[in-house]
Amino acid sequence: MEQGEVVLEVKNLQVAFGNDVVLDKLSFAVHRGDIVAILGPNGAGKTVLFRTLLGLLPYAGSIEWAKHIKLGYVPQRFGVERDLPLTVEEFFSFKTGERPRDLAKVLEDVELKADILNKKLGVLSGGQLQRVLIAWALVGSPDVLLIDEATTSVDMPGAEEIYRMLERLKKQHNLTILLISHDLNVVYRYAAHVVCVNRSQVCYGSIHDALTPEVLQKVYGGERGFYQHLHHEHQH
Amino acid sequence: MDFDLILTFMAGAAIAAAAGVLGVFAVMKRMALAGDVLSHVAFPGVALALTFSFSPSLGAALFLFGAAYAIWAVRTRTKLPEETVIGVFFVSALAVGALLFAGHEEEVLETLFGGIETLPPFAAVVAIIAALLLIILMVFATRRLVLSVVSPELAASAKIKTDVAELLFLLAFAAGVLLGYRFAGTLLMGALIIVPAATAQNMSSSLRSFLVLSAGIAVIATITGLVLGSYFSIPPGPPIILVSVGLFALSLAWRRA
Repeated sequence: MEQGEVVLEVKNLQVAFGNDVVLDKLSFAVHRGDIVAILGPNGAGKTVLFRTLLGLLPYAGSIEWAKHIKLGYVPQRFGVERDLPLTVEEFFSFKTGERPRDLAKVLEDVELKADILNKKLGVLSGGQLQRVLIAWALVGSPDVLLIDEATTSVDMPGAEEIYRMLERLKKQHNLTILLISHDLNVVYRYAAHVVCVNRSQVCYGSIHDALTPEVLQKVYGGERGFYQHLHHEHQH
Repeated sequence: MDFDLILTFMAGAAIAAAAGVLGVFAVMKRMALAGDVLSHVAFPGVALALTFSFSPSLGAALFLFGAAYAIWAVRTRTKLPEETVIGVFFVSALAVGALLFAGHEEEVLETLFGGIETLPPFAAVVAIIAALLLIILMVFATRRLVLSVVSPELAASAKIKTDVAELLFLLAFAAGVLLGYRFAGTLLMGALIIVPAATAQNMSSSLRSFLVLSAGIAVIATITGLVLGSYFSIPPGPPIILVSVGLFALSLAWRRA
């Protein structure tokens, strides 16, 4: 497959909190239009990697984004109480401080109707909230989306739809997507490249070359049978 | 009604509106109890001022802003939950206040429950201006504060410094208590910040209505409380809070409807 320009190059990245090295020796490149999965068990440092890529944490090594790259971020943790009187529209206006001009377009992108704008953020279903968060990230036409576990609070068919939607958005907008997941099925079906992380880098490359049984053993420790039972969700 | 009294009522209303706006963020941050407790930190400040004969407002300001900053500093360094840190500051404040207040029993009651009947015109005008500035500041900071609460990660990705938003809020809270403690008392000023906001939350469907209702309810409770206080010659703090609580009870019925 032909590869686009390099939008992100990470070399020898290390992130530490005091003496605790959370990420070590990470080196990988991301090309335009690629879907790259960041794979690893819980506590492997995947979210820390995203926060570092977003420029929120100090690090050693180098992170080079291509010039004029705009990032959109979809967080995993998002605690909105049911009672919180905050409408979806108000939430969107907080992205830049005013109602986004491309609001109608990003809602259409994530297949949400405009009537959702008057609803309280706290009463949305898991799938609706996930779409709102993706739309929020799409405001302002980013080049790269960083998505942290897109489907944590979404049921199975809903998760499938969200990944299919992301694939379509990638094609429509020539998006580059970095996707954190611990779900091998998702990685196999939607990503072209993978970076396996378990505090340090365990693998990097195209999905079919990089994910050998040995690598998976290393990523997920002593759990056997993982590679053979791909259809099961959330194995570890 | 004389001019001073009208001005005092206007100051009360402006301070209440500021308290209502502050309360929205306190309730959103789940700081209902912690916020209430933070207001008590003014108590030893006033005690210190009486002991060494300087302005009680200055004493309260020193302790409130000092505590707000210290709570922020301890919390950002230790990552302890806000309520733990505030809880520790609260008991320290009470203990210090009780030590210093020996021999000033009358002032204790006034500081705890509010005692003011009329403010001097200059003080009233200063309070009105300060309250309006505080409201403007909070409205201006709304985006930062709300995003910091719903998702610190999203806030950070939108280039919002969540630590700064946190400090700003604590200092604004301290300023709100400072403005209002002479009306409502240090023990009850926290309640004037929290209860109207909790009431408004039950009735609101958007952040905009949450802010407007909370400010409105705080104003109604304060004016009613001041009128009742002067009519029955009692400190205004307790009636202000009791009216607020009454409105909260009514809002529960609204919520169920």
